[in-house]
Amino acid sequence: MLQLILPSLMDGLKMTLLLFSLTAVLTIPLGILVAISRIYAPKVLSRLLQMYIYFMRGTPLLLQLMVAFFGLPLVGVTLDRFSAALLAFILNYTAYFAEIYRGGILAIPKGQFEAIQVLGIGKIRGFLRIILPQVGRIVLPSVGNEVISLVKDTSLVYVLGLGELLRAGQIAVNTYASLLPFVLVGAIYLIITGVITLGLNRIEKSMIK
Amino acid sequence: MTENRTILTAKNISKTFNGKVLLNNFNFSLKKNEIVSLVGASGSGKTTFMRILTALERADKGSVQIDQLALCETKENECQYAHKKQIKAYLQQIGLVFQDFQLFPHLSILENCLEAPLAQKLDSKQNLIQQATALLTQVQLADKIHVMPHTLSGGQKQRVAIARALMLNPKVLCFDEPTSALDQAASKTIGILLQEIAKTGTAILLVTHDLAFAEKFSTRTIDATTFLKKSSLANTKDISEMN
Ligand SMILES: Nc1ncnc2c1ncn2[C@@H]1O[C@H](COP(=O)(O)OP(=O)(O)OP(=O)(O)O)[C@@H](O)[C@H]1O
Ligand SMILES: [Mg+2]
Repeated sequence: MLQLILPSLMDGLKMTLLLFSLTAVLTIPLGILVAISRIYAPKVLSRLLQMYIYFMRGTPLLLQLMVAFFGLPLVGVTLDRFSAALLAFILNYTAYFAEIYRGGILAIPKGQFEAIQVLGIGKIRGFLRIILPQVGRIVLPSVGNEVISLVKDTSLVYVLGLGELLRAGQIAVNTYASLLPFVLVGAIYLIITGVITLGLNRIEKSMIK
Repeated sequence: MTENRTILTAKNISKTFNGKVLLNNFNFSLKKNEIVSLVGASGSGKTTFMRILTALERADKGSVQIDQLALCETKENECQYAHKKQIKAYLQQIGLVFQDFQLFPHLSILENCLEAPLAQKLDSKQNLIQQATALLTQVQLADKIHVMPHTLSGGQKQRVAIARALMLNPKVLCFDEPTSALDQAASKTIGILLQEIAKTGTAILLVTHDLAFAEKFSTRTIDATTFLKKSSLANTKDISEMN
């Protein structure tokens, strides 16, 4: 039976990993840009971003997924299921990451910014080389938390009829009238988060030196 | 022996914070080779004055210049700050060692010293490494070049901060309470180091609560009570006689 179940789960796993990695790779840097704009951009832009973050964090991701797929066509934007899902994930996770980074930037002592200024290092270089690495160290645990949430949140795309891992498991459960697929799905999620956790620990260690 | 050339001039500096007048037409000048101690009550504005000189805080009124380069000037009774480029050039002439050092925690001691001169492209990396190594040796940290800041003692951090500031060859170097966290022996080391630096021509302004330190290592002492007195440039010289 395992030979029958596993291939169908693998297809779901592919979808899960694709959505996960695209979202992670795009939102982790995008969040930095939003956080920087929230802090340093002119008030109007900062306020707009604040609103955006409020909406993204204030409504369920499930609802955002449905708006992206069923709602956007009403205003003339029609996306395929995967693009709609990806868009919702990017908008949602960028907002969460932005808030984490913002907290990290605000946690850097004012004196570090002043040292950059007095030493004539330059704002951009100073931010990239002095501030950002320190922010990274501060936010890493929270970013790790979000990344792990993201793995599991990918299961929400079932509402759009996308065949990700959990949905593949659900179908297999119905098809074979066995709970084994659920056990396997759980195990696969654990393996993914386990790998991510190990990776995060590595990064954390390399940052502490 | 000591050249009598004035390097830094601050004229008629006024600064008010939330209605509290800290500086009122304060005049100050600093000559080559000088070590001037600024002493006075807590909250009297010593740090604020130093932050005005290093452009971290803006004066409400007055003018500041190092040699011919103006940071700000009074025009039509208003304080006008120079353009960005000129402020940058001004800042290249003045350094500040923070009370809490503000070393970059994720960079090694050597990297801490290299970051600013590399950013300003003062020299090739190779030459800068040589210069930094020489300076760190001068401040007795030759064996610490590759360690991280958090592994150093307060006195050692202080010396890294000094080396980091000296990498930019400033004409004026400011120190906010350089010995506040140090014991007698470490304070003495810093005092001697300041005298060595002053000998090379750099003018030093330091804030301290340690009157004995001021007495021993500086060439002139100024009391922060003069911040609020109307003083002319001429009579700031008289203050040196307090010493
Ligand atoms: N950014 C600021 N905004 C408002 N008030 C300020 C600011 N910076 C300093 N002050 C106020 O200005 C006064 C002088 O502060 P300053 O730090 O210059 O004193 P100081 O002479 O260095 O004191 P200390 O010896 O305790 O270091 C204080 O009352 C302080 O609260
Ligand atoms: Mg002070």
